[in-house]
Amino acid sequence: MQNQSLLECKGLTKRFGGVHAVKEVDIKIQAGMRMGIIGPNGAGKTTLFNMFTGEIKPSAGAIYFKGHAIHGMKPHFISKMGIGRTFQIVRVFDELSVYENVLIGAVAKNFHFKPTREQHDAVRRILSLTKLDSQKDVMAKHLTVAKKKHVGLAIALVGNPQLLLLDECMAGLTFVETDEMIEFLHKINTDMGITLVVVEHVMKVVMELCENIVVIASGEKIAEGSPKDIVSNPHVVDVYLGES
Amino acid sequence: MWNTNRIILGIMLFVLLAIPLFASSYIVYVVTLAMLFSMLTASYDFMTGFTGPLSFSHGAFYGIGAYTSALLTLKTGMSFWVAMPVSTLTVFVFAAIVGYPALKLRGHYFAVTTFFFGHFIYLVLLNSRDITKGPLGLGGIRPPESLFGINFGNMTAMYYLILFFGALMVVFLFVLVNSSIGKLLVSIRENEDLAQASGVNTAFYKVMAFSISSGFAGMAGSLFAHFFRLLHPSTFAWMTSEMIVIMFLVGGAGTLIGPIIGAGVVTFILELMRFAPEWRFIIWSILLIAILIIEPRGLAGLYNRIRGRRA
Repeated sequence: MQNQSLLECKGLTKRFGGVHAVKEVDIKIQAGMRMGIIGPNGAGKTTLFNMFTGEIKPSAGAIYFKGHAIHGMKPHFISKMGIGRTFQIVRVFDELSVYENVLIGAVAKNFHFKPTREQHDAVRRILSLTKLDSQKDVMAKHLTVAKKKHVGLAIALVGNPQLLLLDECMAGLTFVETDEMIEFLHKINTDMGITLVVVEHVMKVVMELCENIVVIASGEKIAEGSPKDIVSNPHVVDVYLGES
Repeated sequence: MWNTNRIILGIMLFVLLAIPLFASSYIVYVVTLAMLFSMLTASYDFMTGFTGPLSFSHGAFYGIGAYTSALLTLKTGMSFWVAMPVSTLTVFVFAAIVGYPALKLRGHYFAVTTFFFGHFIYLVLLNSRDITKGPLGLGGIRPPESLFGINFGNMTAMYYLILFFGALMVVFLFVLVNSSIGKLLVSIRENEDLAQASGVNTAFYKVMAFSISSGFAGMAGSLFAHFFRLLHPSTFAWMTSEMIVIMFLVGGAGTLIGPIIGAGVVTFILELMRFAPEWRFIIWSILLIAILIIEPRGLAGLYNRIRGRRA
């Protein structure tokens, strides 16, 4: 095992005015891991995420990806370094076909004046992986929410990320779709070696998918451990169900 | 779509090449103005139609190009053939300087900023009397110097010159929008946050699109200055920027060919209604509202609907 972690944050803090959205959070994520971040509404999970991807600049603290400091970098730069993401509210390029959506993901990472044959191949490979090949010519806005989430994943995956950050990727999915998604995420983790970090509300998902869980409440990290440890941690139960 | 576009553009080029052979000089004059407007709407489409941000300052960049080119030839005796590329480049750089901070704003905020920027440029042109002669108008602009024995004081020669640069610009824009650059620009239009998260340097591409688009407006301005040979600030006021937006909407945003045709159609409708000057803009406004209600995607959308490609 390599000692250096893939993503690491130290003393990460974000203040909006006088409010601490995230307060001195330390997290280490090892390569190949499936990490879950949970917490009540407004705990600061998405803020934490947006700092990882560069959308929000931290007020204090540091973030390292593969040993490089990435705090304060622009999102497109962080994305090119190998951090892919999906959004809490599903985002696709509405007026374009599924194929073009994914092709943009490929071109954005590695620019050629005309998309290369390899890039087209990569797009087709990802489309079959995400089971979108039968809908590749459909305009993205006409897809169901579940399919749009797959497009969002495909756009991120075609850029060969080492780390994939998934923000509530199960929200709005049916039970069957959720199970399929969990299976899919397991697959890309084991087959492609992509490290996963998921922010999630649905406990079932986190329990089935993640090896390690960080619990955030009021912007602070209150617990970290395996799913089993977390459910039996009295402090976490307090936060979720109210103090006893 | 790409192939139909080529055929339509080919036919258009052929018709435009033939027009001066049989049409009256009045028609040639109107078509020349229509071609200048087509250049403006096509370049405008590159920014607003493909990249997204709605801008109301295209007429101002047209004006900067026109005045820069006219003043360079008048004050320094520079040849048109140097002044035109220089003024195009000047507008390109100027747009980058203005666009870099302005494009940090999104949506309506950017639109309002460009609106006031456009008006600011108009006021500068109007009030810098020592340089632009303000409301008196800047006259005495020379036609382009003769080249290969062609005298550009002649309107037909000027017509072909504008057609040549217009065609060059359209080809250039078509190559760009069909390349990966075009895909990245469209990704910004469709979802800027997702584009950024996917690795697109959105700030860079937006400024680039704005500069290229404005640079071509400057080139059209330079051609206009040496064609019309008299400049007045009101030519580049709010009405012009608005007209460009209207032609662009009538033609169909994000299609490049739509706005080119839209400019022609609108110019001709307005010319045909010259018999009733008071009614011209009233009829026109009603027509415009009707077009936008019936087919918000403009003429290009209408065409696609007839062909049954898009609902």
